[in-house]
Amino acid sequence: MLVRFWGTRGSLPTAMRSSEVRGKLIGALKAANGRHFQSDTDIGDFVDNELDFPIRATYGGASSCVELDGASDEYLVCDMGSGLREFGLDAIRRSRDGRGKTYNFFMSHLHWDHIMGFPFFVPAFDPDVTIRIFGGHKTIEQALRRQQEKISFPVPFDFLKARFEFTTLVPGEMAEVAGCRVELIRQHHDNDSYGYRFSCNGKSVVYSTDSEHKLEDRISIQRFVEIFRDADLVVMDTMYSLADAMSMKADWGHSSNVVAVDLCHRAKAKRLAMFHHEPIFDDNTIRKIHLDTIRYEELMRKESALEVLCAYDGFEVPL
Amino acid sequence: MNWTKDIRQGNIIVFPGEPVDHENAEDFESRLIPSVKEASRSGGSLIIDFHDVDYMTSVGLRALMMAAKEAEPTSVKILVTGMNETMREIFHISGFEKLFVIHESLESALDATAAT
Repeated sequence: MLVRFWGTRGSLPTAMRSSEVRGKLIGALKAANGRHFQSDTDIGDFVDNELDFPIRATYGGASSCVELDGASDEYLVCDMGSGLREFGLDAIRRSRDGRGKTYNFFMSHLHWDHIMGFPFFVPAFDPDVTIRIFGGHKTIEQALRRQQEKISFPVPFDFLKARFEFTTLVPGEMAEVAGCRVELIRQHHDNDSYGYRFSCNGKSVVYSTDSEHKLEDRISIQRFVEIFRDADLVVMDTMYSLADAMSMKADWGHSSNVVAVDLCHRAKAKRLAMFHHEPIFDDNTIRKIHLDTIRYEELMRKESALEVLCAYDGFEVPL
Repeated sequence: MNWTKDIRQGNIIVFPGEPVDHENAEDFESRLIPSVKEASRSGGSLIIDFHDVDYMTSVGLRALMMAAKEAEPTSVKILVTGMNETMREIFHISGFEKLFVIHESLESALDATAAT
């Protein structure tokens, strides 16, 4: 199975500014230090192997959209943030190559940054496409229709040609979708959000974003430890520092890198993918937080290591 | 949890005696918050000496945040000291180093309370 990140930014899509591109070019030329390269391949090797991530790449700025690929012929996607546009175009190409045209979406919640990619999801215009949308909220269809009302978007929902099915899931009950066993958990966020555990072909992936953890609520924390238990990958909202999440940004509905590591350690999860990056952070800042999180994991490790990854747009995690 | 207390120059000094994690964080908090109230009553500061605390997870840090919130409407200042390198890194990574005044030694912390 492959987990593919199409959008990893929190709250608001974020474009890189020219000044940041300039900083990357300066960093790359400084690292090259006048070196002469024989070919484009040599340059590519230098970029790939000798430049640190914030110089050679970017975490990207599309909002939440994550694909779980490989469990079946059907597509399985978490959230419809602005990363969904690019996923849709790639899926059209894959379906042209013979893949089926059934899409299964699991919605964390219906805040704008998690649904805004849907009006640009081109497969929705294909009459041969089936789109199944699952979530804990009963208002998913209403939210998607509302954002395509005339006052906000020129193409109304009813213009879409795909066949739609909406299914409300209940925490504690299991669903079987696209070759995966799916369990959901209600999360602390404005108007609730839902996290999901997908068990597919012997691998397990947890998608838990926009979730604030009230550490004094031991019962709730234990529920998350159980749903994270032995997961091969936990994708988790690590938007704020712990200090911010507990003080000025308390009740804003997000979590921190420190809580993510602590929960994954208690659950003996194998990998953590930091996700839902704060839009005001540039690549250097996110990289620093990633390195800090790796260090925190090392400091707090008691048993087997938790691999700490930092998701970026285009990142793929094979399981 | 292991916990000792001292009073010097009107300041409450507490010595948590073990690492703080989900096993003992409630106990840690249940001792810490009354210490803030005691410092408030005595008109002094609260000094937390982490000499015997090897590490602390998020639940322990939350208890510290609760103590800071308890102290906020009072005149109590919370100072921390005796931190090993691991605790310093945890404070740095979590952002807590911006929320608490960290002193190199208990004497330095006491001097700071005397100066105010």
